[in-house]
Amino acid sequence: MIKLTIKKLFRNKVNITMIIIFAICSLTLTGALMFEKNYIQMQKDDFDKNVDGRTLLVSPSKKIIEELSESGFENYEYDYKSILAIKHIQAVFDSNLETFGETTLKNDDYDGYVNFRYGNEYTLPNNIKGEKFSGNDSGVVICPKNFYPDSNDITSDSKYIDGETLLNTTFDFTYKDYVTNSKGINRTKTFKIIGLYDNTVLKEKSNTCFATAKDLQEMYDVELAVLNKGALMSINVIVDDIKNLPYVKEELTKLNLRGSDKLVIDNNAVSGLRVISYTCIVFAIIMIIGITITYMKKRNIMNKKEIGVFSSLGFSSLQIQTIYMVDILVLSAISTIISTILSFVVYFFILKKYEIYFINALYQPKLYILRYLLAYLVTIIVPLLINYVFTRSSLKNSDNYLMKEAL
Amino acid sequence: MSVVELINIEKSYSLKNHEIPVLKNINVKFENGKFYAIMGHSGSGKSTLISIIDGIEPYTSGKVIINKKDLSDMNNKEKSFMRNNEIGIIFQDFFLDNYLTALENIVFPMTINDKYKKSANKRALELLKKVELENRSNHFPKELSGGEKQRVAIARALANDPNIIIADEPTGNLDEENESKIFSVLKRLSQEGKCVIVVSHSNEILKYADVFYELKEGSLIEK
Repeated sequence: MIKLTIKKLFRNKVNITMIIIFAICSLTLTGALMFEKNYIQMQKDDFDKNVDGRTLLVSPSKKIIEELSESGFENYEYDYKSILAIKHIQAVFDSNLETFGETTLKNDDYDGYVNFRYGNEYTLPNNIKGEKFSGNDSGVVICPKNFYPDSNDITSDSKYIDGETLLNTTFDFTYKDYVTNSKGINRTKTFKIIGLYDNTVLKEKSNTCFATAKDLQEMYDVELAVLNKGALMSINVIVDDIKNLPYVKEELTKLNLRGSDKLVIDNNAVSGLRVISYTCIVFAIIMIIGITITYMKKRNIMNKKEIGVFSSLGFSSLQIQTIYMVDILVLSAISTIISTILSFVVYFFILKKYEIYFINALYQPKLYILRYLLAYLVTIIVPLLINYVFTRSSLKNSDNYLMKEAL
Repeated sequence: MSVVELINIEKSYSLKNHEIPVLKNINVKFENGKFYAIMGHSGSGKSTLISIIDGIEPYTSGKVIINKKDLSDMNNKEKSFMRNNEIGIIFQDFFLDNYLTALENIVFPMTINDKYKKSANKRALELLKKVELENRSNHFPKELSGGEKQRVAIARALANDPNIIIADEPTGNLDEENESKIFSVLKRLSQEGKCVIVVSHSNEILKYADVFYELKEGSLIEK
């Protein structure tokens, strides 16, 4: 009975069309579910893995600022010692200490711009190939293993430098000196690449190197410290864990300081992208329900007679219901398989092959099994339920009456 | 020995609180090995009578005994079993499945029959031979003529070897030549021992029927 039912299914061209439409809806649903999950994961990764996710931008409290606005900010100094004494704080430094500038890595392929991040025992990555900083090291950096010394975001056409080839080599970094000359003269500092890290794990850009506090302070003192003289600058406070941010904020208020999260979710972007995903998800679900109902309605009209014939041949209500359930189950299962295969093709042969990154260059989309299962739940269970309701309602009367009515 | 017996069958329809009698005190026995023709003008209740016999139509009062079993004592499952095993029904409009071949249409009712499902294909071919359509086994209904479709429908009705064949206007959509062929096939079945009950408008049936009934004003009269 089942074998013949399936044979019949594939001989009807209408069903082939149904399978294709269903597969498209299923692919849309799966794609939207994956996109939404990946986007949330990308946001989460930014917070969890990047140091900025556990960094506070700290400035004096409103009350202090009001007092200072009369007397001037020149003489205000942060009490670094007291701040560092707060539990869970790993580092404190001027927000402008981290810098970027041109290097001698510039050539036809790169503009040579490199970012420098504050590097200490707490902020350095865990898995470093090569050496870490130690003691009062100076003139050393830890750079990405896939290095892209350019101020532009990485694209699929971009070429990385294999960090291994740069290990233990040096480059010069250019900065301005306003102490020696108030108009600013160019200075260079030589840095040796002593270690490599995986920037994608920490969600750092591919042109970001970690430098020592000593070196950053040295460059800052002759450049930005001079330019910012008299201005009130905020400081970066790095906390050991995101969950301790509220505690640290509370403790800072006791020192007449206020801290705000350095990394803030762009709610507009999140909402916008969420709206798009949810719209696609809802659209796909409505289409699946609509197509199923239309299909069942058509079958119901045509197949009042079919049900009557089945009854006259001796098929019971349960057997008739089974035939129709098999119909829709096979249709939706095949559509789901097609859409799964297509999603793999898109992922493995398009996204991964051409390194199409997910909104930013540091996140590559993944396939989530649970999202697939959720999509399957909709594309298989929902049509089955609708089918069950329709067929049940058709068979509600005694099969005798139905047969008579049909024939 | 009667295989179908109608005892004091009455059937009336309710219409706006009025009872409209269709069948009045029908008493009849149908036996194996005979070809029964039931004739009457349109609206006389022929199809209703047939529908009562195969358990489709409920009746107002009386008894229907099929192979010694009272129809009113059967539940839906038992009635389905009876239709699959003991009764073969043939319709005026054939009602073949357009997406199954001639062979597959005949196999279909065998798929739920424990006795025949394993040898369904072989049996279906034999039945097609019986109706002289063995070379059309892989053709779909749209590729068959009206007469050929009706012969496939007959073969389907014989799928599970029922002893009762009921045909409601089996030649209603056929020309004279095909009509004769169909009646010949049905006659052969009665000669093989089956109880064949045919409702028809056509006088051609009189050449084949062993017993002829006329349904007139709700009563069944043997002619």
